[in-house]
Amino acid sequence: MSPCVSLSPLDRAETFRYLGMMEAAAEEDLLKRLSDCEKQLLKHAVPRYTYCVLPLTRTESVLYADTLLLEGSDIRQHLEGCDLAVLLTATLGIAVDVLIDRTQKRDMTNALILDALANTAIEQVCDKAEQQIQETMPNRFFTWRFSPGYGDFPIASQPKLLAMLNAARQVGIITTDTHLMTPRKSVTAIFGCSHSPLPKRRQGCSICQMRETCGFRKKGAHCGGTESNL
Amino acid sequence: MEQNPIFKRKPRLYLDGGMGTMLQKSGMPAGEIPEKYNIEHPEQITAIHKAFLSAGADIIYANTFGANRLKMKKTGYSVQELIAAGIACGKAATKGTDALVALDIGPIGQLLEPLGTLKFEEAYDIFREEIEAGADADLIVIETMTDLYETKAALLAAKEHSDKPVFVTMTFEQNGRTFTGCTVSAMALTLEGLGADAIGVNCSLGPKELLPVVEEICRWTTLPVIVKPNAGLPDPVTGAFSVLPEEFAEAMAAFAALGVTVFGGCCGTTPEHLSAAYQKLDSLPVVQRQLPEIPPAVCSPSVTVPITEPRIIGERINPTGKKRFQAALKANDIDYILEQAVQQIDAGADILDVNVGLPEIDEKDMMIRTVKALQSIGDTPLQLDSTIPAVLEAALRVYNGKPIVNSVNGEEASLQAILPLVKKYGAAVVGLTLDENGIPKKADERFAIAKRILERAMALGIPKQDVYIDCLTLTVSAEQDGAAETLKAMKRVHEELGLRTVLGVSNISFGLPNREAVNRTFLTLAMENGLFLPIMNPNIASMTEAVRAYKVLKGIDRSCMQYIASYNGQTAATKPAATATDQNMTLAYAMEHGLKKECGTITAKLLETMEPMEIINTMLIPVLDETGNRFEQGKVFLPQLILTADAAQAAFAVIKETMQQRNQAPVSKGKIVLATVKGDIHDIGKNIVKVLLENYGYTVIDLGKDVPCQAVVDAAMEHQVKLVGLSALMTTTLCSMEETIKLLQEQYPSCKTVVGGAVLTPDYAKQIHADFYAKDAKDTVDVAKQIVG
Repeated sequence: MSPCVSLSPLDRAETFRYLGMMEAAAEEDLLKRLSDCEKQLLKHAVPRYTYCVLPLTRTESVLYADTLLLEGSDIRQHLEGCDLAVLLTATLGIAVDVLIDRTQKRDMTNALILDALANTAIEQVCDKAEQQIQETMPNRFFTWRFSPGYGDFPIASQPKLLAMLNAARQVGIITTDTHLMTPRKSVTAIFGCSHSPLPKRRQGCSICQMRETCGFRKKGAHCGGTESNL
Repeated sequence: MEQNPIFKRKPRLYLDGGMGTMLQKSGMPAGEIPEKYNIEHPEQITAIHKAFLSAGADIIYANTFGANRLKMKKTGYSVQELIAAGIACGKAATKGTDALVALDIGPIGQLLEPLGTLKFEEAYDIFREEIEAGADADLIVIETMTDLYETKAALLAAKEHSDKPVFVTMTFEQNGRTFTGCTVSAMALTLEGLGADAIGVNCSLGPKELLPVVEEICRWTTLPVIVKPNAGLPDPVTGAFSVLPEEFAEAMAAFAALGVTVFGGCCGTTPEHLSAAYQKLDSLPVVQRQLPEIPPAVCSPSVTVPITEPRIIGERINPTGKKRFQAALKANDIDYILEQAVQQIDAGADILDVNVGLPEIDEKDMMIRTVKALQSIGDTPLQLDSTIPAVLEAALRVYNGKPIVNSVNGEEASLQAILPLVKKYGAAVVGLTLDENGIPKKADERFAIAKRILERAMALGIPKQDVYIDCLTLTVSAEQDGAAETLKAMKRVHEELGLRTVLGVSNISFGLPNREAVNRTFLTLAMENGLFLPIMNPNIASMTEAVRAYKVLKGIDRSCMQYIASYNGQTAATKPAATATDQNMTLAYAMEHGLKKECGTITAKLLETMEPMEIINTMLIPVLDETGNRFEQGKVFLPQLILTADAAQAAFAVIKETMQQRNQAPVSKGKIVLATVKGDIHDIGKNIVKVLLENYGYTVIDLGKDVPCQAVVDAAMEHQVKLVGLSALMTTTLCSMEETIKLLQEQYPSCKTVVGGAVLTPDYAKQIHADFYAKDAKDTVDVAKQIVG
């Protein structure tokens, strides 16, 4: 059994961003669909997360969280100054995948909206999980969440992280041969934990997989969001 | 049912505890593959087994939980080596005792279709290999399962490749469901039907939290019940489990009071936990479980339909007398069949009859694909309908849950061919009251056949309540007294044999005007005479209304809850839209506002005066183009584009239906193959492209997701397409895209490729030799226009 989180109303602006548009451009019937879909999503989602706290050890060229090798220079840089790493995985549950797939057979627009809402929802679950975890670790300082696939932190790390978390048993997340997670609306992430304040590092586009085709970047803007398993 | 002799050993059987927990305690690093220890450190495994035997275990689970070919790929050992060594460790520990060693089978570690990529047949074969490798074990345990489909594959493999007792436990959450949404009742109905010897729960939660789940299991099975809980939750920092031995023992005592007879521990349970529990249990009297009266029921993993009241079986998935359906079968158009399913589910069908029999097609293959496809779009249990036993067996294998078989009849050949299948796969069955001499005229003769079918079913061990009798509807205009005979036979079958009946009602009115009134009235009469399962068209509102109203009047639908939920507010909502359609709404308006129903109605009206192609070219496509242009200009966005496209789909459906009726060749601008590449399971992007391409009149051969590279090439060649569209969402699957393009260029060089997906870039598309890069669905349409025309 995993720790409990429940979903609050989902961030509209963020959801529209996933839909590639601004809320202001939506007519009334789209807004109506959005609230109907939100109700459905909240009904089907069973948010769960699990985490573990591991000591970090470093040599000149490698970084370990307990026995787990963390590959790539970006994750090393991200966890600089930290003595602990928190491994986190969260999911909305398989019923959301089922809902999105089945809605595609009935109404593609609603399916698209549900997909975007689910992305917003899983981010909210991660935010809440992060907050709950941080509350158990007073007087500590934390980095933001870093996931496999960001920068040079390989997606191939995904199964190893999930194995450390015993995620299949704890929250029902497993991976395909190609390291994709099921349920699809799931996230794995690592954040660092330090005794002293950490320098503010902004989460930039440079590590984002979408940097070359991102519509926001083309217009000189920033999505303002964090990338998950979208 | 006769219990397996294993349960005669002792009134309560004690299992072992957490192997993984013990291994980690003895220094195995986290993330290590435990099964390797069977070969590399057998003494450690044997020592752990011995510790559990000392704690009182009668059965130990060999260290083979994950020893399947997928999980063991990188160990350097074969499944056979790892399992043989694991069982040898167990046998070494139990030597000189009368304790038993179980072959332990856990989940494969990958998600099965439809949500995952692993095929049911492949899962079966993976389990078969494990079971054959574990031939030296005394029994088989299938545990920690969350997916009923995977569990079925394992149990079927165990039953077909060994004669050992099989215990099955699944993992439930506090909400009474597994991670994949399987309910307790579905688990019990399905696994008891398939011949498990004991069922229950393991892992999941701590013992206290499991109590309601175990109570529910006891309500749904007559088999011995197994409980093997965790020692609570692991601490995120230290990894230590929260429930201590004394607390664990106390909690386990509660299960003994329910009549549970097989006990053990899962994650976090040590020999101390089990020793405490077994001492506690030994001090308690053995409670004989009161076996429950299990209601007659069918199920999918997440929906159980008890047949304790009238339930609607939707009849529309059947090609008999339907040109459009027959054409869809011939063209492999599963989407059309799915549409029929969705409509019936949304209209209130509780169960769907599935018949895809047509002389010109491979019915068995079609049946398998249809059952699997239906399982991907709904939870409604199925009634598998065919006259060919091999087709029924194929469907029974791949069905996920407990279905109904339609049908057996009183003919000796039918009884001999069908009933053993029903028994083996744990299904329910429809018994038709006809035999070698045809349909008897008189009720008494039909009753006699029903009785014979029941006796034969029960002789094979099929529970009485799983037999539903069809007393057969004859056309009232041809044989007016027939209706009364049917009703009389039903009444006798229900009252004297205690069986529930099933009946296809619509045939009654054949040849009469205003058939609906006759059907509806006959339906009501039949329900009053013991009909529980009307096979009917749920899309006809008055028929569904009759069933719902009947349940209100008979006091079945308490407080009229279902009735109110079905109709409350409905009239107010539908009326204004209907008037708008009738009057002055244009097709363009309906499309732009995503009004699907209206698009259908307006198109039907237009077809009275216009040719289909004319509607497509002068009305549908201009609106789509205009919306597409506005999308490109950033004036409307993807949801709005899809809204219009989705509405246009409704117009197309009407056009196709009409042309079929007029025997006109279908309109198509040409075929395009679409696929989400091998390894990728995110296919909403591809599906959006599909909708838009179909809007423009292209026929899309949709191969789905996780499509093997060669399968794309084969489909492209088979259909002689000029264009293949490939989608990949994640960087890890882009290599499959490259491989597919390479194969296409080698084997079918004249075919062009267009690629798209979130992480794809124009540069990368060029690098993997794709002919076109499409940044969105609209872009793909532009490519299609250029290549296909």
